[in-house]
Amino acid sequence: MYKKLLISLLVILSVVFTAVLCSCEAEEAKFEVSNLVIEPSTALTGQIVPVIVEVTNTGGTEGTYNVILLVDGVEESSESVSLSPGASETVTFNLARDIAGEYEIEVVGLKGELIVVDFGEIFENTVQVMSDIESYHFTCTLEIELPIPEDAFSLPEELP
Amino acid sequence: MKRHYLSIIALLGLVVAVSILAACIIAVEIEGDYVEPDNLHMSMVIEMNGEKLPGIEVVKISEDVYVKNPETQQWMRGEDVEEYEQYQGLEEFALNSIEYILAFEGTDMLGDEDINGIPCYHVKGIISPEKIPDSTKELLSTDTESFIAELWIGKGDYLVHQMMLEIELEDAYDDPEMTIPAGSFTLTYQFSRFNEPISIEAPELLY
Repeated sequence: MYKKLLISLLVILSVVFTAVLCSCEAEEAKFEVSNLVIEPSTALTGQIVPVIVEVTNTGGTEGTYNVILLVDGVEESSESVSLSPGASETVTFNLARDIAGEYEIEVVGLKGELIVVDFGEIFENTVQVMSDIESYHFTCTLEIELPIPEDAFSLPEELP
Repeated sequence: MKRHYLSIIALLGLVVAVSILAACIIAVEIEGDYVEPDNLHMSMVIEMNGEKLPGIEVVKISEDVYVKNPETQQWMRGEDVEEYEQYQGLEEFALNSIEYILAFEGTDMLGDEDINGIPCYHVKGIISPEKIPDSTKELLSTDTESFIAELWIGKGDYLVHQMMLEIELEDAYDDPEMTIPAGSFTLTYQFSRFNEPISIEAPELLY
């Protein structure tokens, strides 16, 4: 009698314990950050470059996560995202640099590089070398696209 | 009259001659060599909606134009070859390519790209008619504010290996006797063999 009661009690306790454990785990939101994209990875000074990551809530409940963008180890920008369980969101930071150079980009442990070049300097060199060109081989493709209505080239009406 | 629109008018004339179409795509392929100051040797082919017209070979030395007659394969003066009419003026695009480059104003880097195995900066920008030298200015319509342009500049040699121009035809031609629908044309250049020895000489004429 007592043995049966004890077993029933143990079963009930284990069920309750499991349910409590599950509900505790579900309360916790967990975030994963992936797919760092810096496009283009070479930019002109002053050009805005989107730095994109994907944030996913892999936990059991809704939560908020603060995504931080570091440039050369220094916080540049941050953005909070609130996500339901299983949901994903793309976070985009717009980054621009006025000084040419190589910049290390980091978003929640994901690393990349942005190279910023001074176009004035590049083009100055281009003008110089192209001005010295005396001969070259070339191909040139010319494509004309005309949405021609049926009456576009109608002949003039004959006079009576 | 702007010369390159003459070329376009000539091409449009072809369109009318062939058929009246609901939409038309004309492609012109030009390949050749350029030697300073204005010597050209090139071949040109026009394709309309996938159909190729007989191609021609042209040598231009300063103002003198020589054309290989596509039927007889004999060199003649340009004005004596009927087929050349359809192509006349197109050589200006080749002659002025460097001037287009020098008038470029970069606005955005589109990324890194290889052109024929050469690592290049791919830069987007505009070409403003005000910055174009007088010799080229007459080719461009004053109605056009600017052209969208893209350059592929070699990272190591700073040479332009590819150039793309996008020109809107809207309001570009205002002959009251003709109505040309709005459209656009795209010019894509590839350059190679810079400063390699190239000889362009006047061919022997048939007569």
